[in-house]
Amino acid sequence: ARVFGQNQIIMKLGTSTLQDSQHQWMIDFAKIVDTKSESRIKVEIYPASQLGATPRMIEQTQMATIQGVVTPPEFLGGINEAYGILSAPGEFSDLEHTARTLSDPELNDFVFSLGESKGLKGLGLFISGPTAFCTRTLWKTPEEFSGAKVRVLAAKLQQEQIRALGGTPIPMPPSEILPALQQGTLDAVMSCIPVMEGLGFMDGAKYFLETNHGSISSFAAISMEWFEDLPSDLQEIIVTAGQEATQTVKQFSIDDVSDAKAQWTKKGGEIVPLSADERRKFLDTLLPVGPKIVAENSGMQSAYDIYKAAIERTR
Amino acid sequence: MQHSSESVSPTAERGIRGIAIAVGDGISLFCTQLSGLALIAIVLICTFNVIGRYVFLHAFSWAEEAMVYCMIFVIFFASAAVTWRGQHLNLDMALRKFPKGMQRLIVYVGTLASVGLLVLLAATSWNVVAKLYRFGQLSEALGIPMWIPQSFVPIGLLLVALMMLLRLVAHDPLPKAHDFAAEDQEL
Amino acid sequence: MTLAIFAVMPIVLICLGIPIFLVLFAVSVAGILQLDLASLKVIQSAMFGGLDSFPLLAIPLFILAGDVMAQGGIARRLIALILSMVGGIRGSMGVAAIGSAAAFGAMSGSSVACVAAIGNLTIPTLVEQGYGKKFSTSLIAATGVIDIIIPPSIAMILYAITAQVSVTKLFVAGVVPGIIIAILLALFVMFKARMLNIQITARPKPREIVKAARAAIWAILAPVIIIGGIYGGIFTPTEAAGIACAYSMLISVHVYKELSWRDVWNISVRSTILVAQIMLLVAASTVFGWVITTSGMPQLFVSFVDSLHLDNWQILLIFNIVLLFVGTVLEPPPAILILTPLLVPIVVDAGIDPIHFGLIVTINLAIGMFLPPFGINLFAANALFKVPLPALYRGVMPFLVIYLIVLALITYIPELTTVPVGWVN
Ligand code: NA
Ligand code: NA
Repeated sequence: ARVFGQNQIIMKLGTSTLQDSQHQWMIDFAKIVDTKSESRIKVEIYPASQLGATPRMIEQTQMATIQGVVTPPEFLGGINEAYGILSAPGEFSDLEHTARTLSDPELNDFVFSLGESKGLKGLGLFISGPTAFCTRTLWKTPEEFSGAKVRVLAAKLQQEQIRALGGTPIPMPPSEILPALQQGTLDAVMSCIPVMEGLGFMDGAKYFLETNHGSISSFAAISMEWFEDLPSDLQEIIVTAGQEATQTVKQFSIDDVSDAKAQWTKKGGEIVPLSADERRKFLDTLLPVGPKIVAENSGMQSAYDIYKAAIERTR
Repeated sequence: MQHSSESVSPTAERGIRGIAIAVGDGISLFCTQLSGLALIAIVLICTFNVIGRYVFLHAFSWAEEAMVYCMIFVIFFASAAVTWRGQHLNLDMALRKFPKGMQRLIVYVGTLASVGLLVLLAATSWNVVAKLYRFGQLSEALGIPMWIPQSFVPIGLLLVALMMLLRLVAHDPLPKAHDFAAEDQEL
Repeated sequence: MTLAIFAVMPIVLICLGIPIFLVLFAVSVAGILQLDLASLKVIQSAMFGGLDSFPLLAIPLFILAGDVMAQGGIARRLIALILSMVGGIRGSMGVAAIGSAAAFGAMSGSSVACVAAIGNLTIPTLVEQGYGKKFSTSLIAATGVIDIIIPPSIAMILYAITAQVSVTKLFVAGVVPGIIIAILLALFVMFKARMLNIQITARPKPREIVKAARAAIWAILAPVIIIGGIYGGIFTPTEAAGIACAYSMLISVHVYKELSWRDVWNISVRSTILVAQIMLLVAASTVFGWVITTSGMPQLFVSFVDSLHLDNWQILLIFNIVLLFVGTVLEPPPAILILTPLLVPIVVDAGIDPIHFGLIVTINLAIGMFLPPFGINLFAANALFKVPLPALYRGVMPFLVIYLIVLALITYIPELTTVPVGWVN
């Protein structure tokens, strides 16, 4: 660990977003660490991709050139494909239930250790928002997605959901999405409302379709190499601060989802609520995608079973 | 049509200088040809991806990554040829004001220091690439090992350093008078 | 010591003729070691990461497309058509070049790509007509930056995301200054043409236009396909660059038959040299951006400005100067990612409209791209058109004055942005 003038250890944390739950987690974590360590560790926060795009921030964390990153777990698929199961469609009763699932100790033990042999140690797992769509035209049924070009991440479990709907999954870099929606190069985006609102997608695809068919999560990870160099009392502080920040950010994430929805309408978007029956149709199409994809691979299968069990256990 | 990868050095030379020229020309040719292939590959991937998506409703999830990695290949490998031709963007108005002997000293010291810096950067880069190799890290979309595209960086830096040294041996590396002869009168 | 590293060291190294990309690396390494920011391993990630960006692909692809169009007969036919249409006023070809750059700006978000594509098309004709290579190249280098002011613009999208404002409104805000700049540039070119005594070409004759248009039909289709494809939702602005390459290759080889596939191959190989010259600078500038971001200097600057309790006009003046300076060293995207989260809270606190400020940021960073000594467009023009940098430095001065006038207008007459933005609601 690098030590500064007054024996202060600097911990740089990066994320790609701004003023959302990922950013808030870093703020909360920094405060808790500062108090608990009596300023022996100073956490520096870099939101909005200031330290580089997400895959590069992850590598910087693995190489210990920065100390931590907060990212959707889909970006970690190249490190361990099992992270991808958090993209699988899932049926949650409400956001409280999603929050309980993501902080389930058994699931956490599993997910936090997935990258340990590759330089990444997990500290927290929390909600960004429920998985949903924004669309250019008013759609309410799975059939309407047939032939649609839908932006997703390159993760297989995300792509297969669009195929299950009969659409074409298009992985596209973030800066191209809004113009693509405006010109019709894309018809829809699958993501969660805080992200869609933050990136201004209502200017291109104003209909927000609340399918809520899974969870877009956020994963806080720190550099294993840096962590192992810390004295054990500071290691303890980092781990507990991670747990506490995950708890304090819980309410923020839930509020952030309703704030983003309010902003969405305020900025000219429209919210398309689904009746229980209408949502059921999406779930019936999408839920089988998870088991189907993981069946191809035993590692993914056991990871999926752990995730599925956590969802049921916390219902 | 002028041939694109002509030798920088017109006449046959013997001895160390001759070897340096031959090696420099060879590497430069090899790097630009490979880079040309990569550039063409970008055009092809882009075109087929657009056609696939619009006409056949099928997008290649790896297209974006493949194009960007090809571009990074072009940048670092073609840089070797840029170095060999002495065409890196720089400002040498001040350097030209010095007497010839002083210029020569500055160029030699500057080149050796640059080579040192490039080797240092390449070594630290190599560290990262080696670690990615050990981790078996894969790219998000293509699923190829991350160390492959990332190794373009240290390899490129080393090629640039090598070409700088070869240039010192093979050519008179001082700024040429004719570079500026055209200034203003003709412009 | 920090001052020596970030101010003295780069100036000395540049004066000694060290390549700019190496100067940026050297300063970054010195900064990382002096401030103990991280292990040097971060340079690999910052460099690779700076280039691992899809929108950057527009630069190599438009360099290639521009070269193919110039050699394969597309450019010649397009210019002949433009010449048949503009005429009767002095400086019409110069005005046509500005118009082309503005039109290109409307479809692309990258300024270096604009310099490559439009420069290849227009500079030879401008030189032929007697504008002089220095003036013509400076004109294109300075006009190319209009690209990030006229929507769509990657810079504006990034600002809108980081400042949490509407991209559409910011795009609308960019239209008026874009037009003002284009008009002022056109007036200046007409004035210059009078000074240079450029011949007035004949008034356009419908018959001539039809003849030229008929000869250029496949060439006209190139911009039609590019613009139509973007606005018709077939491809993204970045992909348009690749389509432009493929289309101009096919037309040059199979329709005009002015190139063989072997020629296309040779052009591609030669283009890689230009691509490397320019993009290596982009890579080095991202590394430098990482160092600036983590150095704590931006935060220090912001709290310093905050502590001065300045009037709004003073805040804007200081921010303009800083942004101009930052714009010459960093590309617009890293500059925006570093500065927006820091500056916008101060601006909003002072009651300045963040959309208005977004436009100020964009115009400043646009100017920075051709501001001597480091503006990337100047390096691009130097590499592409072989005009020495000192000549370009002098050549862009009048254009700089024009842009600074517009910047002052936009900064101190907020209505120029807020009124058009109000119309979209
Ligand atoms: Na533009
Ligand atoms: Na610049």
